[in-house]
Amino acid sequence: MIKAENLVKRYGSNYALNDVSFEIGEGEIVGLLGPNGAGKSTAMNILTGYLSATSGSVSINGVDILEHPIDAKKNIGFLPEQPPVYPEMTVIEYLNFVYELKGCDLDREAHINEILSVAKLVDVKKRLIKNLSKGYRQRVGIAQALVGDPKIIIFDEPTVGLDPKQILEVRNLIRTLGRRHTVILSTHILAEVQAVCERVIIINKGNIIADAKTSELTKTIEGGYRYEIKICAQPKDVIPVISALGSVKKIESTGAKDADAFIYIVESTPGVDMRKQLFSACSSNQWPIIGLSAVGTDLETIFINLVDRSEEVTGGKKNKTRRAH
Amino acid sequence: MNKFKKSFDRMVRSRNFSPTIVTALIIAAFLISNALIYMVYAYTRSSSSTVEQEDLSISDAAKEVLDEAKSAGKKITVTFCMSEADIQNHDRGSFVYRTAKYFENKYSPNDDFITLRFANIYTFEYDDPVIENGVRQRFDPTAYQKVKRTYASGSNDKEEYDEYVISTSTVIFECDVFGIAGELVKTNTRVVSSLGGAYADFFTLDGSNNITSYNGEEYFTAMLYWVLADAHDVAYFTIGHGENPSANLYTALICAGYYVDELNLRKSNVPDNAGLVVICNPKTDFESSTNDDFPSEIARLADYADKGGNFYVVIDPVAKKLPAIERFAAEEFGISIKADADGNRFMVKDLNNSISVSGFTGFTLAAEYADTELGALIKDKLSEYGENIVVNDTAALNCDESLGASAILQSSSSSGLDVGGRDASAPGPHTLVAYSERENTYNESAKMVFVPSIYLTANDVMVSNRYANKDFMYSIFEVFCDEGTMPYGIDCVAMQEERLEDLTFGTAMLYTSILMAIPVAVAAGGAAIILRRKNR
Amino acid sequence: MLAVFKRELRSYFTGVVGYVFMVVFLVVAAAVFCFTTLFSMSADVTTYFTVMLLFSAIILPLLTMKSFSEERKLKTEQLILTAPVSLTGMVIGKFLAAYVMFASALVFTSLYFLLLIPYAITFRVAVLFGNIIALLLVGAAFISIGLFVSSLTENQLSAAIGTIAIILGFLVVGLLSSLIPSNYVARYILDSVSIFSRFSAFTAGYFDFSAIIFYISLSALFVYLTVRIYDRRRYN
Repeated sequence: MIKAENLVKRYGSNYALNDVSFEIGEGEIVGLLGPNGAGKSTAMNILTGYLSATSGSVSINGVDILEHPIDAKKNIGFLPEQPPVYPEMTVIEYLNFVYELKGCDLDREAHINEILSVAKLVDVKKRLIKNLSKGYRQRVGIAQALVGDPKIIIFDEPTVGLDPKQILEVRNLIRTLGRRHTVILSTHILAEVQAVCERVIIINKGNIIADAKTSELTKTIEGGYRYEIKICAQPKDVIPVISALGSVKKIESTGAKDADAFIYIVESTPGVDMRKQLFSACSSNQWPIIGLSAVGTDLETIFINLVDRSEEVTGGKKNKTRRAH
Repeated sequence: MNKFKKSFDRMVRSRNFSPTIVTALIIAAFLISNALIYMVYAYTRSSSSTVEQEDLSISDAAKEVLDEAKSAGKKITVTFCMSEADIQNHDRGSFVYRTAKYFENKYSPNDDFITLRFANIYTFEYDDPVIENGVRQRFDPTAYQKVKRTYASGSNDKEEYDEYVISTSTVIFECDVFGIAGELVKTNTRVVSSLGGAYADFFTLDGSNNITSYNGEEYFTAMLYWVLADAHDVAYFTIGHGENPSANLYTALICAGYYVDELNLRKSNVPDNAGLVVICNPKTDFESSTNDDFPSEIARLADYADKGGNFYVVIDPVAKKLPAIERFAAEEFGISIKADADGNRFMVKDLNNSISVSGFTGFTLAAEYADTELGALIKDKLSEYGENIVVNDTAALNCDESLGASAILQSSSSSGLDVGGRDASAPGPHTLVAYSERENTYNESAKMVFVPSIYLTANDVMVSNRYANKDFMYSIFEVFCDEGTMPYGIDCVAMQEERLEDLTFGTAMLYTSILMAIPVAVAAGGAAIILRRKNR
Repeated sequence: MLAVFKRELRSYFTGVVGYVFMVVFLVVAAAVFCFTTLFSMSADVTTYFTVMLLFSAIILPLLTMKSFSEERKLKTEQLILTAPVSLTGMVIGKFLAAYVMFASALVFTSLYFLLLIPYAITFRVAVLFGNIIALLLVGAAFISIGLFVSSLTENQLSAAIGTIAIILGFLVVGLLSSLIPSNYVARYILDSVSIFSRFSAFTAGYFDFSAIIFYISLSALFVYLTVRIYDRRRYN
């Protein structure tokens, strides 16, 4: 359905996207995961035709976006980072405008009413967009993406700035949409990807460093945990002992203290759960553990993990995609 | 279009033409092609348009006179002093030529009631040879340098002549009058020598000698009348008091069939052949008593009045007072200018009936005909020509009916008076032009028309086809000379086309307020719409 | 393109801009009309159109200043550019919206001259038409310049000032060209590009077809430049 081949986006000497390729089939729900500045938005903007790649090509449903932009864009509904709404219009005026803009030929009134109910905007349909709260405005943005029932819907960070309840609603909506549309969404929250997407593409600094089914990836990153442990013992004693443990890859003292306990960050080797070993080691040395909590099961960790791993394999700069199993 | 763009884009990309360069090329192409087209245009541009002359607009009364003359067997010849080809190309002469041609075509297409001739004043030859009685006629301009006058009244033993300079733009009107047996009795001649510039008599000129309108039809008609009549009265303009008779008044008198001369009352009496004495805007007063044996000016005027004379008096109410001449008008004819105890004149104002006429300062009033015998008569006569008569800076007149004075023209009933700059709380109507007729000691009637405004014959109103000022003048003159034929109601062709006329100040204000109300309505509507939306 | 046009036109009237433009235009037009005709007792259309030309040079930039600037600022241009609408379609849609505002105001106020017909000695309708058409075209040129400048910046005020600056630039070109002696090519080029001096042919009563071509091509040029700006931005 969507085919991106060797996309490069260069601003001067800075590569926002560095030879990015992927293929997304019909009906997939794909998450684009990466930290801020990774190139997710750039990739999406290129997919939707807002930006043009310095080199490489994008085809939507077999139609090259540069050669037949209008035909390609007809299949896409897009919600950018900032919902592109006109504050001085009412919700329904705005949706009518988008309807005309996209050149739809569905039954206008019925279609828009349907979208209003899907996006839960029926009560506010006559309100001016500038009088709506951020949550509602986001929903209007989502509604706009749905106009014309496009085959592909792309969301750029759809839950940023929403409260937890709204976030849940949006995620539910996306899941529902995923049943009948091809959905791509970008986020920097792993949990979101896990909750909504079947497949995730991880991008960092313009390179794809992972492209796998969500379930597989979760498994992958389950290994290699980091913990914060508070031990009442001196670093000069603790560090050599813990480092010697088989399951520990690295331990370092943060320099901070909690009462008389030092705070350490311990990183385990991949695939190993070192917590029991840590406990044993500390108890045999009679070092009280007053705190042990998981740290960095977030993107940072994963990236570091994946980056490290990919660096190990290629030994240096990456310029190829990696499919992780 | 899209395909073209796409292949254009592809070409740009594929051949690595920087789009910037392409854009620069397009801008250059735009500039150059525009410059080229502009040059072509500048080369081929032609000159400006000229004013179109429309069909003759002469009145029915004029037609009647001509029909009568035709059936009386008179023959009219109009001789131009330029060749036909030349006059057709002359920028002013072409107008006169067209008018003459129209007359010829309308009144004598197949006969010789009106004949046009084109002569050369240097070779004495006509364009088309004129054969009379088998003899080829030559044109002799010297014959027209001195034309004898024929007076309607007064001494005819003293022969008087008008002297003319014959130039290429002279037009000569002649009318042959035949007796019962068909013999030529006499020829009446009128020479229009246009001293003021080529064919200037047929046009109205402004201060800088630019043409403001063409009134050739009227003038032509008046000249035809002139030569159809056998004799004419003389209108004498008094001089010696700083009078400056307006050119319009002068021309109007000629068109009315008068000879026009100057009269210096300090030196001579009013001649016998005077049909009219015109006192036009004197700045200093007339002498009313002298220590010499000679009679004073006022005495001479009184003498003329006693013999049944006619007076046309124009006084500027804003200027210095002239007690002698005003006393003369008041005592002999019962017409005086309204003034207060201190002698300040009452000036008429009428905001409701103000018509703006460009060039006039202050407000211009629309005048009505008075409900007097003469007023009604004139009104009736002019009813087909238009009713608007405008005056400006005019004082109000007192009419003493016991001396035979009555109003002809008055202001509307909504008019008022100002005196010394203050409102005098005097509601109208007020007399603007007065007429007086009284029988003298010899049972002959002397007449006076008194106009307390110098604007009645101003340029702008006289050239207008909308205002009846000129026709009003003619009707006044008709009162003085019982047998005159006046060229009533003949339109002139305005050269300054863009004037507006007959637009009252009130109407202008009305339009302005309507036009200003529209944006207010839009603003109100907009405010309503926006406010309603705001709270959605 | 129609969608953009309709939305833009609507936004003029759901916001303050459209009404302010209309009201100011109508007030100025009525004032100029009354002064130059009713109170000068003249049916001369020349003065009116000359003044309206200068007025348009000032008010049209204010009308177009928000066209693209606001879209950039609110990022709503992302919606339009990712929708199945061509760049040219978008620019032309905006152009038409501003133009409809201007043209309707101009034509409506030109009807005021009909009031003069009963009072005028001769009313030269051809001259009136020529002037209306010329001003419609110059307005198109001004609007297209305004759109172009508006697409360059997010700041509306800068857009307005930039547009007025460019229009003044044309005025200066026209004035400068009179310094160059008549037969030089440079003079022809400068003369041919001067918006204001080519308008004077219409006020004098001539129907200058070459000026019409000029105004239309100038509008097309700036529309093209606007499209190019957006196209270029995609790559940057």
